[in-house]
Amino acid sequence: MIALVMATMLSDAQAWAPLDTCGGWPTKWHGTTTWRMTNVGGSYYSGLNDAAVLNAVSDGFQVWSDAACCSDFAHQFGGDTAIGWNTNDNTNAIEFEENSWPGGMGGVNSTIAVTTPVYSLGNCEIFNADQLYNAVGFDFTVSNNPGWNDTDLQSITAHENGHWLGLDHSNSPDATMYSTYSGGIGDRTLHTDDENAVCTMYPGNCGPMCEGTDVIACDDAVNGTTVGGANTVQTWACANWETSGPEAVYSFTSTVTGDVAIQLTGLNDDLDLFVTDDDAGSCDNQNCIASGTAYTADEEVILPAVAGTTYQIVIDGWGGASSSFSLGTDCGAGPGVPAGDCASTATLNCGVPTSGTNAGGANEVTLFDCAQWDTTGPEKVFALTAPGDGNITIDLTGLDADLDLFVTTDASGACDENGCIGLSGNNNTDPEQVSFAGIAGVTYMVVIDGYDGAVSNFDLDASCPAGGGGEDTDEPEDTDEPTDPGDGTDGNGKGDGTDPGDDTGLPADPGNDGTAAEDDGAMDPYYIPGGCSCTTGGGGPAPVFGLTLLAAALTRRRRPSATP
Amino acid sequence: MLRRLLLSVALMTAFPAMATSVVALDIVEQAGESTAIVDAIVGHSIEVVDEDTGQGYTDTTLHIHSNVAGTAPEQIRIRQIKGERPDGTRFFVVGDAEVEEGERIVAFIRKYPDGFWYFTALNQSVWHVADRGRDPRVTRSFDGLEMYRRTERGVLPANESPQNFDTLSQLLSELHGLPCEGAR
Repeated sequence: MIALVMATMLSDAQAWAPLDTCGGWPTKWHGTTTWRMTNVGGSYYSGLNDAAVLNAVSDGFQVWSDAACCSDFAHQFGGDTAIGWNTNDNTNAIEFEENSWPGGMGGVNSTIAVTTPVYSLGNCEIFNADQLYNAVGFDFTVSNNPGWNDTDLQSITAHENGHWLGLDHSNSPDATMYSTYSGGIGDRTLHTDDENAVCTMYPGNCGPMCEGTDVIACDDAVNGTTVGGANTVQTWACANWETSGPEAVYSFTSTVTGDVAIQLTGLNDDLDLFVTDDDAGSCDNQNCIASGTAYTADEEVILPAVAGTTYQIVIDGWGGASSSFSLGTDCGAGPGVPAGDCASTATLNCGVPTSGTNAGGANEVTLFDCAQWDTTGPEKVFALTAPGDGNITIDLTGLDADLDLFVTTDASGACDENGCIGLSGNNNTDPEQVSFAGIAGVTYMVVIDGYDGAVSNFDLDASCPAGGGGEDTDEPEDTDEPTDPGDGTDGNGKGDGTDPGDDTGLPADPGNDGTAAEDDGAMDPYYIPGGCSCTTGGGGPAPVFGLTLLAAALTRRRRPSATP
Repeated sequence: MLRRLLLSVALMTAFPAMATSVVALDIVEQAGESTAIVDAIVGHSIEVVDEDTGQGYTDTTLHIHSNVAGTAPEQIRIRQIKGERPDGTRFFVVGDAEVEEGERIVAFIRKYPDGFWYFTALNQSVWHVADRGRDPRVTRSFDGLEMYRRTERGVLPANESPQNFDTLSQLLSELHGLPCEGAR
């Protein structure tokens, strides 16, 4: 293992090395480096004007701050100083020696420039460094075409400043920090290896970037996973926690100006949701626009989007977490359904009871838009096509665990968690029933989902209006009013509301939940004509017609005493 | 955690070399910059501080086995700008030679007007005589040195490899009698 790591580290792909290490951590500055120019004779260096020297030295620093990978190495010019080289004064002086080259710095005809870092042995923090340029033995130039006996100052400063910020030589031949650089003014710019070095030692600033080639559109949804993804971002400017898990990144260009809801669902670990400015196709962790804060629950951020603007949506793992997920955008038309999400695996025919189980099914949907509770169990999805116009009633019985029943629109053969038509969420093993107004020829998705991870066998039956499918064909007793017990146990075992004997002259009540108390002549709670019938376990006062489904769901308290 | 571990391992296995920008000197050029070329045993080191400037140094005793060229006393102290201060800090000249007490070296040395001896050209000036059983090697390290050459197009980078020898006698025969002019 160690040999493998060493071999990797010494490869050309990562050839750089720090100047020294303390307990495994590299020599580096902590905070901004302030450097000063020694000026004792009225100029920095008699061979060049001060501005040229200052520019060359400053550029030699800036090349490290401007690394394409966004290094956090920061420097500033602190003005002139009369103090020269001394490792004991914390001046950070850059001095051109023109009179006498000091002993201990190498030969006057050999050493061109020297850096003398001073650092703490405890944490390897560099807190002082001086640079001495040998103007006794060498002539420095800033010309792009160094001539006879000239030494390119900026190339030297770029290299020496690499040492200044804590780097040793690289074994990558093209690197500025390669011990025998390639010539001319080539070392004024950084090689990839130099950039890797400075960005590893000084991460931050505009931060490590995460790039993604995936795209999500407005009112779109996708399934994805962060498992096996790259982990390039550890912190975000808009969050105060670490995100050491791998990321998944989606590019999103809004088609609307206004709030766009971005939703992250289907999590089985603690992923967080971030939206950042687009930085040339990458995320920018320092320009974080919004973030979600939930733990393993669904995440949602509201992005104040501008039409035509591209953003980066990043799903990142807290504490190293990784998970599959579903990501949706709602620009006004509502988020779509990820392809293959909650796909139907069976067909439910009217009047043909069927039995099954949700065991082994996928857990693609953990929250329907019409429900206020998590449905973290696996789903079993049936496709049901209405044979004619009229109310359809679905009954779910024979439960040995807490399954719930949903009916949604058909999203290309899959359920639509945001297209909920009806739901029934009774507690425990109580039977569930959903009635809704079907339209001839339209396919609906009947979803049996497990509350809080529940798995159970079930019996499922659909009663449909007359048409190609034959409505209530299993209920000949419906015409036998005197024998109808009116308790919802007739015929198909349920009061389906279309049975005139079930109600007493009121409009058909598709929300009849099939309980004995149901044939009370009252409309079921939360029945919305033409919309959804949301049954409750305990009945309750009839709501006002026209309440929206969402309002109904929000006001409905989910199983307060049924929590295991 | 794994990333941190890998980084730590990587840093601990990093090259130990230091660095500075120097013109490569061949042995004749370096002799011309030197007072003597000596075959010596490295002795004890002490750290000293210049009371006037506060600048610290490390003075290392060299026990001269023989003068290969030029003349040096039987025992000298080589001064280097490096050290560890009582406040727990370390300083050094990037690219300077590192010698260990007890090791045998062959070195170009120069006496400066301040009265102290220095290695003539940092790491370029020291061959380390390593006794590896029956296969001794005499090696010089350019670790940390950015090498240049003076050319007709100016001072340009140069690919320089340190010249090593299989035996000490081979090195000494190369160096013997070179004109040391650094004392003039």
